Amino acid sequence: MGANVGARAGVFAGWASTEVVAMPDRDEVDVGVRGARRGIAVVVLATGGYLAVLWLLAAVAAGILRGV
Amino acid sequence: MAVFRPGADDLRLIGYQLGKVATGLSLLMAVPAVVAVVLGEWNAATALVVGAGICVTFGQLSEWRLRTSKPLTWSHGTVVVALAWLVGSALAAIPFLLSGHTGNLLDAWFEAMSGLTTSGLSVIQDLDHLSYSMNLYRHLTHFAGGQGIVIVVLAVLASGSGAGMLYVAEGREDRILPNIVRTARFIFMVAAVYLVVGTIALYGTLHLAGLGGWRGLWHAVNLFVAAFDTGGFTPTSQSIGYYHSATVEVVLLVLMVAGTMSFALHYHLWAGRFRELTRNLEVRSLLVTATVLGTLTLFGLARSGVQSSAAGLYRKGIFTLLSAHTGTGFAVNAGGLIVSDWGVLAPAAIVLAMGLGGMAGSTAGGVKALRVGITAKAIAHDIRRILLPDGAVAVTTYHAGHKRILRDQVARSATTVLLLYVATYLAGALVALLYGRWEASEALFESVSAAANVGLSVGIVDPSMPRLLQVTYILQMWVGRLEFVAAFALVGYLVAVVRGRR
Repeated sequence: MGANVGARAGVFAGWASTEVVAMPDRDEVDVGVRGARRGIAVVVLATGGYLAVLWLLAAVAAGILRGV
Repeated sequence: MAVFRPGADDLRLIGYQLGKVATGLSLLMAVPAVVAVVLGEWNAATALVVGAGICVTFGQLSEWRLRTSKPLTWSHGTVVVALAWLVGSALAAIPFLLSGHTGNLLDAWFEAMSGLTTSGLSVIQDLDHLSYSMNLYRHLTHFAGGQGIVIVVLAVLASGSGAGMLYVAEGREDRILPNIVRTARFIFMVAAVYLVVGTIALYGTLHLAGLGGWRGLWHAVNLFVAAFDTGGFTPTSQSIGYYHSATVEVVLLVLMVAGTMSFALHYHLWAGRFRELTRNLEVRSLLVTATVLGTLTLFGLARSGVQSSAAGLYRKGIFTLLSAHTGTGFAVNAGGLIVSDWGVLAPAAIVLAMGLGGMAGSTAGGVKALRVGITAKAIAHDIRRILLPDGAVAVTTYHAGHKRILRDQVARSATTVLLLYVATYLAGALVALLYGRWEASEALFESVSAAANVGLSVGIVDPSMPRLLQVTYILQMWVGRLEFVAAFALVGYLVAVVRGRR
């Protein structure tokens, strides 16, 4: 039921169509400060790691440009 | 198929719900109005107070004249949402119009629609001399639109069965209400926590870049809102190029990526379910498209000879690519240069990135990573079915929160919306080409940017742009934000009003 409601909320907010949003159930929403901290930490680490990979790609592109 | 004409009660209900949206917008205008008074920006204060006053009047009139206990159905809700973006953007345009920084009502409406749909295309004149409070208001439209006009109203005003009913198609499950409100509040909690963390990080980097004090804080708040809500407005006309800071750009990249992640994914991560990050179809899809298009951008940019160092390629190419893919629209150089100096490959990759967009259930626009992933899975599924012996049952699954079976209906829905986006991109480009002033690449770039709610511009969007094209972009931003369904429902509803059977 929770996912259904989330889906409808998504539609009404203009974000997404019904099949694509799955929001949490009522009893699961409270994740606390610890949850927020680890959630943000994971996002920052994962994004940082991915940006580092893209940096390597840029270095390769620059290397190829210089004929290395 | 018979179409039934909506009755006066239905229209009354819709008007009543729209009144609530207007009340929500008045609150949005009140915040910068206070800032304007504190800073002594009396012109801006007047514009914002008048705008808020009109919204309050509209809201109270609807409360007074249209209040109804009639339950909201699925069709009502869809029509309310479609109209909320149109009426809401028209009301949100009032302060822009009165500010003197827009040429006419259409410009003001364009700016408001761009802000609320988190697009970021701007026709504000003399942006660099816009008052602090009015500039803050521009950015707050991103926040209101990004979190969803209706959700704003719900979270702030819901106290009983009224606003919450908007989310319930059948309106018969009482226990759904607290669930919806808590879901909306969770979304706001994510945004609020990121607001604090992101603003501090941006303020620190801006301070290092030489922009400290309260002015640095003001820039940090505005940039955060525009980045996390994947909006793209910036306080200055030079966009992110104004700051000349690699660290600011890195912080913004992280915030843009966080903003393009679905709130459902945020929820899973906040709940400690980290494996969702590696299993989720949207994450995988986004990772693949961003990496492939990032590679193409880098090599295209390298071949063009504009940038030769890794740092230059990264700061121009990757930043622009991710700004496009996340649906944000921050720019680090003049937009026209992308199509004039970057060769062919890099601009093509950026247009594709804009068109594909971020994750569903986020503030990003475009086709969305989930639909891209589902379409790819559906193609693979069809190929498997051809290769398997007759009578064999092929089942394809994907992970989005939990394991799901890829059903034909889901695949058809995803590909239909994908095709509708492509058609919208092309239609907007054709309208621009009618004027004969721009190359096809420029027309396509700007059209995709508008319809996918991105905000990167090659220069077509400016205060002197043709009016028909401006209206086209407004409609593109609107249908792009609504992902077609609600817009089509509104058209169907209007047809029913005119031609429906009693």
